[in-house]
Amino acid sequence: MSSVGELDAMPPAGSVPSLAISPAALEQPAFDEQPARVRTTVRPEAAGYASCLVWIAAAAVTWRLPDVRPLYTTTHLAALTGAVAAAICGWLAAAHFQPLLARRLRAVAPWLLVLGGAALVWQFVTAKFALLPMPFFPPPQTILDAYENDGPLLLLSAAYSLRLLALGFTLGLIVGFFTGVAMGWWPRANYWLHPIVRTIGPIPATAWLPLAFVVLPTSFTASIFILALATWFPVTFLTWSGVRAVNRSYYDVARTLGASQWFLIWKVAVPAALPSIFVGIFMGLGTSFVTLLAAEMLGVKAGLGWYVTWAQGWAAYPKVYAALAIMALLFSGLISILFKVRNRLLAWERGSIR
Amino acid sequence: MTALPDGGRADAIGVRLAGISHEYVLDTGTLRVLEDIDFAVPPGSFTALLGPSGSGKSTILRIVAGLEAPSRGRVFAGNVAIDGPDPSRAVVFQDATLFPWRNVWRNVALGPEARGSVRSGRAAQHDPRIVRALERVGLTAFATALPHQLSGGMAQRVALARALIGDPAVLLLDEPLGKLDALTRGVLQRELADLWQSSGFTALLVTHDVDEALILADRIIVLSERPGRIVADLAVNIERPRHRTGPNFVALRSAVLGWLGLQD
Repeated sequence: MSSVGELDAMPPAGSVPSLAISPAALEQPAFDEQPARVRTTVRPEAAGYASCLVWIAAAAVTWRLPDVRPLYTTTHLAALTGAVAAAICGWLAAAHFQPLLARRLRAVAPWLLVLGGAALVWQFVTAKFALLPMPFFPPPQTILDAYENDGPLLLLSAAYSLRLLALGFTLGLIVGFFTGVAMGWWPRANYWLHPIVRTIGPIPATAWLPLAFVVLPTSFTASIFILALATWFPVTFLTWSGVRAVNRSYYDVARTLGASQWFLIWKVAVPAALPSIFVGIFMGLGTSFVTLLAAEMLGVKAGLGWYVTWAQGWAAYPKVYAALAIMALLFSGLISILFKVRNRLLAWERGSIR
Repeated sequence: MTALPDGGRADAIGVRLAGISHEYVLDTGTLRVLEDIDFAVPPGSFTALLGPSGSGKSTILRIVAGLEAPSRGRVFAGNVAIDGPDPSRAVVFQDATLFPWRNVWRNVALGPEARGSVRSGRAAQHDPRIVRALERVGLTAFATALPHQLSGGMAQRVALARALIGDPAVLLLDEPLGKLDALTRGVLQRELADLWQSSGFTALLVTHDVDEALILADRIIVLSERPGRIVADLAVNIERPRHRTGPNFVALRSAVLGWLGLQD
């Protein structure tokens, strides 16, 4: 009954209803104001100049210093390094006139510097002085060579991997989403599906490879199945737990407004569970990368996983590195796309967690 | 404002509770929360349920809303037995419970959207009902704001607009101002009284704030501690707008506090 005590402290009758000020003005909106950008000319700092110099040095060393063993692509690599150096130095010059370019350069200059240094060191310890054991630590020239000679095959492999990943991941995502929603919503669905998800889910999808290749008609469908399975488990689990965790009072509100069961599922449960669902999708994407490489080591004729296994069989480590670099770009690109989608769909979440 | 003259409205319906008892089954046994609740709210009136915490007043509201079925007894809206939620009986909860993923107007559009009378597209923002509902609570400028950008009072206004957009015959208020600061509470009490007078809905308010009940209601039903029973049923015949310092107000306040066992 503390509220009764508060009542005595309330202002006397005349003061509250003095509505000369509009009610809206009484309440401060909690809009976060964007801090005003300080508009000053930002001078590119030392890291900008240093990275320009380091990349020039890397290009010069690659070009002029003799290789321990003759390498075919040294001039190509020198040209490439020189192009990077020219781009950075050009950016640096332009930054003197464009504050925006200067700010961007300042943000990435430390990384450009470190990468230039790494390129320089890499030249010294491999191509120029052979300080590291071959063939495990190849000079960058040989990796460039792999791209120049195996380019079409690498591109084809990337395309095959991407196709397999798209089919398997999408299938797993859709099935996992619906399984999770069904489990979260209908107790009967949960009764039957939960034990299955609990027992099948934690088995790494790759463990099913031998079985899948026997049971399913083609190795292609087997690979898709395995990838879908790998994605399905985390998506199902986090969709289920997300739907289960929805604040019950959202349903009360929607029901008093006349919502049907479909409305409760699609317009209340799913949007409310979306943050958790996205965690599941991210985990699913991660496991599908792992599973992709394993699946491609069996029964396919092209694909990045297959290429890596094949190149390793010939001890062609530069080719392995070449494929790994493509994988890195591809996978991090996919993660970035997923992040973009997530940030768009969950824009409301920003600032709501305090 | 769609002010009906004098707030009178042809489709106003009352609410009647007949012999309501309710208990919750817990691990440790059953918990009786309501015993023999029997009262009728006349169409278009404003009734306040007042009682200590745990007196089951919110349970009464949930039963009238159709969110819970009573263990015993029956509830009627007009002459129809209540067997589930219905948009003709709108609820404003203690927490605004706005959907955080929907901006203000989309939250207000929730009811029409759930009933299929408005599309969820962007054009619906200019649906006259939504525009009017936002105007009524003075939030037109915040139509595209997200719930986390609103203050408590603004959020509660959105919840009010969301409840009123379907023009409900009955408005159930579950301590809607309980979590607001005293100043905002005072302003919103006044606005709520105005909305009731202009819209003519039947209002049932749950509160533990004696002054709030006295400012808003025609009638105050006082409940005992758990299990809740009706201990007093008082008419509030004070002219509106009401002032906390009027002699009738003060006299009635001590009467109510007496029934709550808080007056020496």
